[in-house]
Amino acid sequence: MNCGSCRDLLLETDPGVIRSALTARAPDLGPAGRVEVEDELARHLATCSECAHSAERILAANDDLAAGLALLGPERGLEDAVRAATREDAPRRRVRRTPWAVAAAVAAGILAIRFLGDGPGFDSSGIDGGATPVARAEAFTPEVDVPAGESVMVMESANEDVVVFWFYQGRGE
Amino acid sequence: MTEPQNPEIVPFLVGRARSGDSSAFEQLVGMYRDQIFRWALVRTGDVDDAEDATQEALLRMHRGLRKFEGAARFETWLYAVVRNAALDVGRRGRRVVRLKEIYASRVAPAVSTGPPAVVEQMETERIGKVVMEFLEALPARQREAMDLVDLQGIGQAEAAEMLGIRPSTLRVHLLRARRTLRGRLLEKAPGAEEAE
Repeated sequence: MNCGSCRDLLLETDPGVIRSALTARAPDLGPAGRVEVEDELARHLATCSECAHSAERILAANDDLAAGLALLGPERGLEDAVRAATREDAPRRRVRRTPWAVAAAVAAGILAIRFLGDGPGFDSSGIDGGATPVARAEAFTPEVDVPAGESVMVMESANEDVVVFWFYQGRGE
Repeated sequence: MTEPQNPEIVPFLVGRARSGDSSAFEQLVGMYRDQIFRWALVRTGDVDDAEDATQEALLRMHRGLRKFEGAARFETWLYAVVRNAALDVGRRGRRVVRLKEIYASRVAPAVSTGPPAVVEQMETERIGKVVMEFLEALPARQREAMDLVDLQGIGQAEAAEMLGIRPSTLRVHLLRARRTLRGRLLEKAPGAEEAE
Protein backbone atom coordinates (compact mmCIF):
# COMPACT_ATOMS: atom_id res chain seq x y z
CA MET A 1 0.00 0.00 0.00
CA ASN A 2 1.31 3.45 -0.87
CA CYS A 3 0.43 6.78 0.73
CA GLY A 4 -2.17 7.64 -1.96
CA SER A 5 -4.21 4.48 -1.45
CA CYS A 6 -3.80 4.83 2.32
CA ARG A 7 -5.23 8.35 2.16
CA ASP A 8 -8.20 7.04 0.16
CA LEU A 9 -8.85 4.43 2.81
CA LEU A 10 -8.52 6.94 5.62
CA LEU A 11 -11.13 9.16 4.00
CA GLU A 12 -13.80 6.46 4.04
CA THR A 13 -12.98 3.86 6.64
CA ASP A 14 -14.91 3.31 9.83
CA PRO A 15 -13.28 5.18 12.75
CA GLY A 16 -13.10 1.96 14.75
CA VAL A 17 -11.10 0.31 12.01
CA ILE A 18 -8.70 3.24 11.83
CA ARG A 19 -8.30 3.18 15.58
CA SER A 20 -7.45 -0.50 15.71
CA ALA A 21 -5.12 -0.13 12.70
CA LEU A 22 -3.30 2.67 14.48
CA THR A 23 -2.94 0.82 17.74
CA ALA A 24 -1.88 -2.44 16.10
CA ARG A 25 1.81 -3.07 15.89
CA ALA A 26 3.51 -5.18 13.26
CA PRO A 27 3.86 -8.25 15.49
CA ASP A 28 0.14 -8.08 16.27
CA LEU A 29 -0.80 -8.32 12.63
CA GLY A 30 -1.81 -11.47 10.84
CA PRO A 31 0.63 -13.55 8.82
CA ALA A 32 2.30 -11.82 5.90
CA GLY A 33 0.42 -12.36 2.68
CA ARG A 34 -3.02 -11.80 4.12
CA VAL A 35 -4.87 -9.30 1.97
CA GLU A 36 -7.25 -7.93 4.59
CA VAL A 37 -7.64 -4.21 3.97
CA GLU A 38 -7.43 -3.47 7.68
CA ASP A 39 -4.15 -5.31 7.95
CA GLU A 40 -2.81 -3.51 4.90
CA LEU A 41 -3.76 -0.23 6.48
CA ALA A 42 -2.20 -1.18 9.79
CA ARG A 43 1.03 -2.23 8.11
CA HIS A 44 1.28 1.05 6.27
CA LEU A 45 0.48 3.16 9.32
CA ALA A 46 3.10 1.30 11.29
CA THR A 47 5.76 2.30 8.79
CA CYS A 48 4.61 5.75 7.56
CA SER A 49 4.58 8.45 10.23
CA GLU A 50 2.93 11.00 7.93
CA CYS A 51 -0.07 8.77 7.23
CA ALA A 52 -0.20 7.75 10.86
CA HIS A 53 -0.39 11.42 11.81
CA SER A 54 -3.25 11.91 9.32
CA ALA A 55 -5.07 8.98 10.89
CA GLU A 56 -4.58 10.47 14.34
CA ARG A 57 -5.96 13.81 13.17
CA ILE A 58 -9.04 12.12 11.73
CA LEU A 59 -9.72 10.28 14.96
CA ALA A 60 -9.12 13.40 17.05
CA ALA A 61 -11.60 15.36 14.92
CA ASN A 62 -14.10 12.54 15.27
CA ASP A 63 -13.70 12.55 19.04
CA ASP A 64 -14.00 16.35 19.16
CA LEU A 65 -17.20 16.21 17.16
CA ALA A 66 -18.70 13.54 19.42
CA ALA A 67 -17.70 15.54 22.51
CA GLY A 68 -19.03 18.78 21.04
CA LEU A 69 -22.44 17.34 20.25
CA ALA A 70 -22.65 15.64 23.64
CA LEU A 71 -21.96 18.99 25.30
CA LEU A 72 -25.11 20.54 23.87
CA GLY A 73 -28.58 20.21 25.28
CA PRO A 74 -31.88 22.04 25.35
CA GLU A 75 -31.96 25.29 27.30
CA ARG A 76 -35.48 24.68 28.55
CA GLY A 77 -35.47 23.01 31.97
CA LEU A 78 -36.83 19.53 32.52
CA GLU A 79 -39.88 20.53 34.55
CA ASP A 80 -40.67 23.31 32.15
CA ALA A 81 -40.39 20.97 29.17
CA VAL A 82 -42.63 18.33 30.74
CA ARG A 83 -45.19 20.93 31.75
CA ALA A 84 -45.25 22.37 28.25
CA ALA A 85 -45.55 18.95 26.62
CA THR A 86 -48.45 17.85 28.79
CA ARG A 87 -50.24 21.19 29.05
CA GLU A 88 -50.03 22.13 25.39
CA ASP A 89 -51.35 18.74 24.44
CA ALA A 90 -54.74 19.22 26.06
CA PRO A 91 -56.06 22.40 24.38
CA ARG A 92 -55.05 21.19 20.93
CA ARG A 93 -57.28 18.16 21.25
CA ARG A 94 -60.17 20.26 22.50
CA VAL A 95 -59.89 22.61 19.55
CA ARG A 96 -59.90 19.71 17.18
CA ARG A 97 -63.03 18.18 18.68
CA THR A 98 -65.09 21.34 18.84
CA PRO A 99 -65.97 21.84 15.13
CA TRP A 100 -66.91 18.18 14.90
CA ALA A 101 -69.20 18.54 17.91
CA VAL A 102 -70.88 21.59 16.36
CA ALA A 103 -71.42 19.78 13.06
CA ALA A 104 -72.92 16.82 14.92
CA ALA A 105 -75.18 19.17 16.86
CA VAL A 106 -76.46 20.80 13.67
CA ALA A 107 -77.07 17.44 12.02
CA ALA A 108 -78.90 16.16 15.09
CA GLY A 109 -80.99 19.32 15.18
CA ILE A 110 -82.07 18.91 11.58
CA LEU A 111 -82.99 15.30 12.22
CA ALA A 112 -84.96 16.31 15.32
CA ILE A 113 -86.94 18.89 13.35
CA ARG A 114 -87.81 16.38 10.68
CA PHE A 115 -88.77 13.77 13.25
CA LEU A 116 -90.86 16.09 15.44
CA GLY A 117 -92.36 17.93 12.48
CA ASP A 118 -93.66 14.76 10.91
CA GLY A 119 -96.52 14.55 13.45
CA PRO A 120 -100.28 15.11 13.02
CA GLY A 121 -101.15 18.14 10.97
CA PHE A 122 -97.66 18.50 9.56
CA ASP A 123 -97.56 19.21 5.87
CA SER A 124 -94.94 16.76 4.70
CA SER A 125 -95.03 18.14 1.18
CA GLY A 126 -93.05 21.10 2.43
CA ILE A 127 -90.29 19.03 3.97
CA ASP A 128 -87.79 19.88 1.26
CA GLY A 129 -88.47 23.56 1.37
CA GLY A 130 -90.72 24.82 4.13
CA ALA A 131 -89.51 22.52 6.91
CA THR A 132 -85.84 23.35 6.47
CA PRO A 133 -84.59 24.91 9.69
CA VAL A 134 -84.06 28.63 9.54
CA ALA A 135 -81.98 30.65 11.95
CA ARG A 136 -83.97 33.69 13.12
CA ALA A 137 -81.46 35.69 15.06
CA GLU A 138 -83.25 38.97 14.47
CA ALA A 139 -86.94 38.12 14.18
CA PHE A 140 -87.06 35.47 16.89
CA THR A 141 -85.20 36.11 20.13
CA PRO A 142 -86.36 33.67 22.78
CA GLU A 143 -85.07 33.96 26.33
CA VAL A 144 -82.95 30.92 27.09
CA ASP A 145 -81.00 30.15 30.23
CA VAL A 146 -77.68 28.79 28.98
CA PRO A 147 -75.58 26.81 31.49
CA ALA A 148 -72.09 28.18 32.14
CA GLY A 149 -69.53 26.93 29.65
CA GLU A 150 -72.14 25.96 27.10
CA SER A 151 -73.59 27.55 23.99
CA VAL A 152 -77.02 27.22 22.50
CA MET A 153 -78.22 26.94 18.93
CA VAL A 154 -81.87 27.82 18.19
CA MET A 155 -83.54 26.33 15.14
CA GLU A 156 -87.12 26.58 14.00
CA SER A 157 -89.07 25.11 11.15
CA ALA A 158 -92.05 26.14 9.05
CA ASN A 159 -94.16 24.55 11.77
CA GLU A 160 -94.07 27.36 14.33
CA ASP A 161 -94.85 24.92 17.15
CA VAL A 162 -91.53 23.20 16.57
CA VAL A 163 -88.40 24.97 17.83
CA VAL A 164 -85.19 23.17 18.69
CA PHE A 165 -82.86 24.46 21.41
CA TRP A 166 -79.56 22.65 21.13
CA PHE A 167 -77.08 23.05 23.99
CA TYR A 168 -73.48 22.15 23.38
CA GLN A 169 -70.15 22.61 25.13
CA GLY A 170 -67.56 25.07 23.88
CA ARG A 171 -67.82 28.15 21.80
CA GLY A 172 -67.87 26.56 18.38
CA GLU A 173 -64.32 27.70 17.40
CA MET B 1 -27.28 8.45 24.01
CA THR B 2 -28.18 8.42 27.67
CA GLU B 3 -28.49 4.68 27.98
CA PRO B 4 -30.70 3.52 30.80
CA GLN B 5 -28.82 1.55 33.46
CA ASN B 6 -31.43 -1.15 33.33
CA PRO B 7 -32.66 -1.98 29.78
CA GLU B 8 -35.97 -3.15 31.22
CA ILE B 9 -36.71 0.30 32.54
CA VAL B 10 -37.64 1.85 29.21
CA PRO B 11 -40.49 -0.55 28.30
CA PHE B 12 -41.65 -0.32 31.90
CA LEU B 13 -41.72 3.47 31.86
CA VAL B 14 -43.32 3.54 28.41
CA GLY B 15 -46.06 1.23 29.63
CA ARG B 16 -46.68 3.37 32.69
CA ALA B 17 -46.65 6.57 30.68
CA ARG B 18 -49.12 5.09 28.20
CA SER B 19 -51.53 4.43 31.02
CA GLY B 20 -51.34 8.05 32.12
CA ASP B 21 -48.60 7.95 34.75
CA SER B 22 -47.20 11.47 34.55
CA SER B 23 -44.12 10.68 36.66
CA ALA B 24 -43.18 7.90 34.24
CA PHE B 25 -43.50 10.33 31.36
CA GLU B 26 -41.34 12.81 33.23
CA GLN B 27 -38.67 10.16 33.75
CA LEU B 28 -38.72 9.32 30.05
CA VAL B 29 -38.31 13.00 29.20
CA GLY B 30 -35.40 13.23 31.61
CA MET B 31 -33.72 10.23 30.02
CA TYR B 32 -34.18 11.23 26.40
CA ARG B 33 -34.35 15.03 26.35
CA ASP B 34 -30.68 15.63 25.53
CA GLN B 35 -30.75 12.86 22.98
CA ILE B 36 -33.84 14.35 21.34
CA PHE B 37 -32.14 17.74 21.20
CA ARG B 38 -29.04 16.23 19.63
CA TRP B 39 -31.05 14.41 16.98
CA ALA B 40 -33.00 17.58 16.26
CA LEU B 41 -29.82 19.66 16.03
CA VAL B 42 -28.18 17.23 13.65
CA ARG B 43 -31.33 17.19 11.55
CA THR B 44 -32.04 20.94 11.48
CA GLY B 45 -28.49 22.28 11.77
CA ASP B 46 -29.72 25.15 13.94
CA VAL B 47 -29.81 25.35 17.74
CA ASP B 48 -32.97 27.42 17.96
CA ASP B 49 -34.78 25.17 15.53
CA ALA B 50 -33.51 22.22 17.52
CA GLU B 51 -34.91 23.76 20.70
CA ASP B 52 -38.31 24.21 19.09
CA ALA B 53 -38.21 20.76 17.53
CA THR B 54 -37.33 19.24 20.90
CA GLN B 55 -40.37 20.74 22.55
CA GLU B 56 -42.58 19.77 19.62
CA ALA B 57 -41.18 16.23 19.74
CA LEU B 58 -41.91 15.97 23.47
CA LEU B 59 -45.45 17.10 22.81
CA ARG B 60 -45.85 14.51 20.06
CA MET B 61 -44.23 11.88 22.25
CA HIS B 62 -46.77 12.57 24.97
CA ARG B 63 -49.62 12.34 22.50
CA GLY B 64 -48.23 9.44 20.48
CA LEU B 65 -47.24 7.17 23.35
CA ARG B 66 -50.80 5.90 23.53
CA LYS B 67 -50.39 4.54 20.00
CA PHE B 68 -46.91 3.11 20.53
CA GLU B 69 -47.36 -0.64 20.81
CA GLY B 70 -43.74 -1.69 21.00
CA ALA B 71 -43.46 -3.19 17.52
CA ALA B 72 -40.27 -1.16 17.02
CA ARG B 73 -37.65 -0.24 19.59
CA PHE B 74 -38.67 2.83 21.54
CA GLU B 75 -35.59 4.73 20.33
CA THR B 76 -36.43 3.93 16.71
CA TRP B 77 -40.00 5.16 17.18
CA LEU B 78 -38.79 8.23 19.06
CA TYR B 79 -36.27 9.07 16.36
CA ALA B 80 -39.08 9.13 13.78
CA VAL B 81 -41.07 11.44 16.06
CA VAL B 82 -38.10 13.80 16.36
CA ARG B 83 -37.40 13.82 12.63
CA ASN B 84 -41.01 14.66 11.82
CA ALA B 85 -41.04 17.41 14.42
CA ALA B 86 -37.77 18.80 13.07
CA LEU B 87 -39.12 18.81 9.53
CA ASP B 88 -41.97 21.05 10.64
CA VAL B 89 -39.70 23.62 12.24
CA GLY B 90 -38.46 26.44 10.06
CA ARG B 91 -34.85 27.46 9.78
CA ARG B 92 -33.72 30.72 11.26
CA GLY B 93 -30.18 30.95 9.87
CA ARG B 94 -28.58 32.15 13.12
CA ARG B 95 -26.69 28.99 13.79
CA VAL B 96 -23.14 30.37 14.00
CA VAL B 97 -23.95 33.17 16.43
CA ARG B 98 -26.08 30.99 18.67
CA LEU B 99 -23.61 28.12 18.74
CA LYS B 100 -20.84 30.50 19.77
CA GLU B 101 -23.07 31.84 22.54
CA ILE B 102 -23.91 28.38 23.77
CA TYR B 103 -20.36 27.09 23.82
CA ALA B 104 -19.23 30.30 25.49
CA SER B 105 -21.88 29.87 28.18
CA ARG B 106 -20.61 26.36 28.91
CA VAL B 107 -17.22 27.67 30.01
CA ALA B 108 -18.08 31.18 31.17
CA PRO B 109 -18.43 30.33 34.89
CA ALA B 110 -14.87 28.95 35.00
CA VAL B 111 -13.11 31.75 33.13
CA SER B 112 -12.42 33.87 36.18
CA THR B 113 -10.55 31.10 37.98
CA GLY B 114 -7.29 31.49 36.05
CA PRO B 115 -5.17 30.03 33.26
CA PRO B 116 -6.54 26.46 33.35
CA ALA B 117 -9.99 27.87 32.71
CA VAL B 118 -8.68 29.87 29.76
CA VAL B 119 -7.23 26.69 28.29
CA GLU B 120 -10.56 25.01 28.86
CA GLN B 121 -12.29 27.89 27.11
CA MET B 122 -9.97 27.59 24.11
CA GLU B 123 -10.62 23.87 24.00
CA THR B 124 -14.36 24.40 24.11
CA GLU B 125 -14.18 26.99 21.34
CA ARG B 126 -12.15 24.61 19.21
CA ILE B 127 -14.71 21.84 19.72
CA GLY B 128 -17.46 24.33 18.93
CA LYS B 129 -15.80 25.07 15.60
CA VAL B 130 -15.69 21.38 14.76
CA VAL B 131 -19.42 21.10 15.45
CA MET B 132 -20.18 24.19 13.36
CA GLU B 133 -18.19 22.86 10.45
CA PHE B 134 -20.05 19.56 10.73
CA LEU B 135 -23.41 21.34 10.66
CA GLU B 136 -22.46 23.63 7.79
CA ALA B 137 -20.48 21.32 5.55
CA LEU B 138 -22.86 18.39 5.31
CA PRO B 139 -26.45 17.95 4.15
CA ALA B 140 -28.95 16.77 6.76
CA ARG B 141 -29.02 13.13 5.66
CA GLN B 142 -25.25 12.82 5.78
CA ARG B 143 -25.13 14.46 9.20
CA GLU B 144 -27.71 12.05 10.52
CA ALA B 145 -25.92 9.01 9.12
CA MET B 146 -22.58 10.11 10.53
CA ASP B 147 -23.97 11.03 13.93
CA LEU B 148 -25.80 7.75 14.41
CA VAL B 149 -23.07 5.43 13.14
CA ASP B 150 -19.69 7.10 13.68
CA LEU B 151 -20.42 9.26 16.70
CA GLN B 152 -23.05 7.31 18.62
CA GLY B 153 -21.89 3.85 17.59
CA ILE B 154 -25.26 2.58 16.39
CA GLY B 155 -25.05 -0.33 13.95
CA GLN B 156 -25.62 0.45 10.29
CA ALA B 157 -28.70 -1.79 10.01
CA GLU B 158 -30.37 -0.15 13.00
CA ALA B 159 -29.38 3.34 11.88
CA ALA B 160 -30.88 2.65 8.45
CA GLU B 161 -34.11 1.55 10.12
CA MET B 162 -34.18 4.70 12.23
CA LEU B 163 -33.70 6.86 9.16
CA GLY B 164 -36.19 4.86 7.13
CA ILE B 165 -33.69 4.10 4.37
CA ARG B 166 -31.94 1.01 3.03
CA PRO B 167 -28.56 0.07 4.55
CA SER B 168 -26.90 0.53 1.16
CA THR B 169 -28.26 4.09 0.98
CA LEU B 170 -27.09 4.77 4.50
CA ARG B 171 -23.62 3.59 3.57
CA VAL B 172 -23.53 6.02 0.64
CA HIS B 173 -24.47 8.93 2.92
CA LEU B 174 -21.91 7.82 5.44
CA LEU B 175 -19.04 7.56 2.98
CA ARG B 176 -19.83 10.95 1.46
CA ALA B 177 -19.97 12.56 4.89
CA ARG B 178 -16.64 11.06 5.92
CA ARG B 179 -14.99 12.05 2.65
CA THR B 180 -16.18 15.65 2.94
CA LEU B 181 -15.18 16.22 6.54
CA ARG B 182 -11.94 14.27 6.50
CA GLY B 183 -10.96 15.70 3.12
CA ARG B 184 -11.33 19.22 4.51
CA LEU B 185 -9.36 18.28 7.58
CA LEU B 186 -6.45 16.75 5.69
CA GLU B 187 -6.30 19.69 3.27
CA LYS B 188 -5.36 21.89 6.19
CA ALA B 189 -1.72 21.92 7.16
CA PRO B 190 -0.98 19.60 10.09
CA GLY B 191 -1.53 21.54 13.28
CA ALA B 192 -3.62 24.18 11.53
CA GLU B 193 -6.82 23.06 13.24
CA GLU B 194 -5.19 23.43 16.65
CA ALA B 195 -3.91 26.91 15.78
CA GLU B 196 -7.31 28.21 14.63
